[in-house]
Amino acid sequence: MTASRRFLFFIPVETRGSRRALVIGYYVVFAAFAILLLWLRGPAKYDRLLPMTYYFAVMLGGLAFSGPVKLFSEWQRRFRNGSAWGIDAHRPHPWLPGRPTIEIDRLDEHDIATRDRAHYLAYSALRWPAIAALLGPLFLLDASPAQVGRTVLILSVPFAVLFFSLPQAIILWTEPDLDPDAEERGPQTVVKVIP
Amino acid sequence: MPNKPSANGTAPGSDGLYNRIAVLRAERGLSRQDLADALEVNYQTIGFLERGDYKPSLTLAFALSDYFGLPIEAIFSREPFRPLSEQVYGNGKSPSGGSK
Repeated sequence: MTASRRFLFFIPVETRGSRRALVIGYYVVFAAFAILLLWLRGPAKYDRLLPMTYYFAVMLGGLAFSGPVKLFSEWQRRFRNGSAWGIDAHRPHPWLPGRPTIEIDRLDEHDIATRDRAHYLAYSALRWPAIAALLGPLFLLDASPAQVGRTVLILSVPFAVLFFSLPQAIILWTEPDLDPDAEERGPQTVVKVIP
Repeated sequence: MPNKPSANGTAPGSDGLYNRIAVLRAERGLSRQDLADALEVNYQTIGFLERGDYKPSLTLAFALSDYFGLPIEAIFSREPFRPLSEQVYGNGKSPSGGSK
């Protein structure tokens, strides 16, 4: 399910170990960034982080072309076959004539099954914690509406980034290494049938 | 843990579906990429099929059947496949002993 692009910001994602390290590093960096922002700017400015969660999340791919996970959406196939939303994939590159504009990996049936399974796992895991985190502050009877709103806002940021990035993280975490021409180490019986 | 092809080249899937794709591919001297290109899937999908980690759709199963020129039941089975050598040469007691 990972695309043929094997680097993310010069970080290799070729092996399972490196993909898992990328997932861990990704969330550690985001958590550190959020804590730093909370510490330096205070809770009042924390809402600035919320619009950034989407842009942070698409770095893993899936939602955008740039990440190591293949695009989830079916429109990429239409894009490859001609155009989608007015963008023509076969149009010459504006600055580099003669060079193909973009190379998009196709989704086959296994990719689609992997994508759907990852989304199911991610949203199953997020469902109840998100409901608890977003509705829980309403039951703080002593809190003022402003405090409840601020608490919900602070709690919504990690769930926002998880909502956009957890399926890609699951795909990167679980995908095994498969070399295109590597033979399995197990013995095989190959017999030519002579009629 | 992913399944690996057994000694007779069949891969038990998690749902009990066995296949001979690895043997058939090796018999024809194909790489995973070659087979994937012919079937218009990704090479990883061929690997997952061979390891028994993925159960193909009917469309892909028929495509494999057409490509290898074999009936589907020769490629996929719900029971473990007997080794091809055993099927061709019998139980190994006698090379000319005929088929079982």
